[in-house]
Amino acid sequence: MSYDRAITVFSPDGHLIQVEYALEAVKKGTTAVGVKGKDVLVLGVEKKSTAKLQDPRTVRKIVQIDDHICMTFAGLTADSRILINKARFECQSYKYYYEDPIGVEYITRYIAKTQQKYTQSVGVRPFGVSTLIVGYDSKGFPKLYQTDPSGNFSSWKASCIGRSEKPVKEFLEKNYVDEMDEEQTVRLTIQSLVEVVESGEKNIDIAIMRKNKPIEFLGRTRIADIVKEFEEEKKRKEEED
Amino acid sequence: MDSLVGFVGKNYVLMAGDTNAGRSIMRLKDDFDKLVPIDSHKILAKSGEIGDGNQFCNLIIRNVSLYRIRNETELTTKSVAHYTRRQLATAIRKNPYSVNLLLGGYDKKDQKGSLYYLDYLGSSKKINYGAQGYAALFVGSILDRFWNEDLDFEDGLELMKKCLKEVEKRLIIGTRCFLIKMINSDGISVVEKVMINSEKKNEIEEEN
Repeated sequence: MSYDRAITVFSPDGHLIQVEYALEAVKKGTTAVGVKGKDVLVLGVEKKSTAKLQDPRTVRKIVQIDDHICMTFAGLTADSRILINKARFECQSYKYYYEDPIGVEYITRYIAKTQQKYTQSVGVRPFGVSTLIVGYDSKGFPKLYQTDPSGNFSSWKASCIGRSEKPVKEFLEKNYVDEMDEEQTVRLTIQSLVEVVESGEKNIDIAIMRKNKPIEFLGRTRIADIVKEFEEEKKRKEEED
Repeated sequence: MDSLVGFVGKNYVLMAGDTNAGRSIMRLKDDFDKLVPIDSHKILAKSGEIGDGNQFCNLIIRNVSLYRIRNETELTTKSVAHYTRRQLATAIRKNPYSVNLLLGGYDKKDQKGSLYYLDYLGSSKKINYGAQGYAALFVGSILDRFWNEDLDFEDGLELMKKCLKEVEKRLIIGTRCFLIKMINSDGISVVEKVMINSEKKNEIEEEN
């Protein structure tokens, strides 16, 4: 009797095998990193290398959900589109009823609830997507949330999902400090990705979310400059040893 | 009863609405803003049932926002007018919205302003100048006479005030206070909140 057929079935040792398979799908996706600073939020993603004839601008992994909330994901891109669409609709729906902009935790809970629904319904499979959601809460504090295919969600100071989750998380745990300013936060994000992303800075996208300001995507030259600084520092350290 | 006036100028759209909100013979509010911003460069001026106006405008604003977030681009004024008309047209035979609207907007792509007349039955027309409510009875002839497509801002404001003065003079129900807004390439701005007082004689002539 195979316990990985219908997701509504528990395995004898208490696992939802389909959900765990979905987590495996997430581990195959390109890396995404989120870091919270003192008053800034930075998202970094590894872009999948585009084919020669493909237009790289159409492959966007960091998306806006509302004017003040952004998210990124790791896993099945097509599945993420569904979640993003639902989230965008929910944001406007909330504003329609309550006239206030939606809260970051509220929309995270909504996305997580949606993901959980698909683990307990007939004829559907779980979303093969983990998401990182960033925004500022009603008191003005930056918030970073993560959801996964099981429908779990929690708040993080810095987190990573996707391919290189383990090494990047270790790096973040070692190097994260509280109350970083914007420059430090951006550098930490880029640094955490540069080690694990193949072919370096060309395949990294960085987005900065400041309070009450629209999201800003860091320019190619700026990322390249910061990466160059890292490499020079590394060389210097090696020479000193 | 509401008065809304609007016209397109050289590179702007000027819109004005009275600031009364009332129920039958009672004035409930005298600082009611009827010129609702839909996005950064469009105004929906609403007249008619207050509740319907609120609900309907909310619906349009939220859907225009949703489009903007989904597609990372803003809708043109023409598209918003068509969308709004469609909502009114499908509602008229089911659950009608008693609102008459003037939609004014500035499109950065064409660098032009445009104005649309929409009513609760689901009609829509692109116009250069127009009005809703009782103002339409008085203002049409003034705009016919004095409007031209090269009106710069000062002349436009003067023309608007001429229209509003006529409304104040001839409409039997007092609606002296008007809010004037402008849309241009920089977005929406409040031009003036005017109190119109047409010349009145101060003395009562004695009868011989």
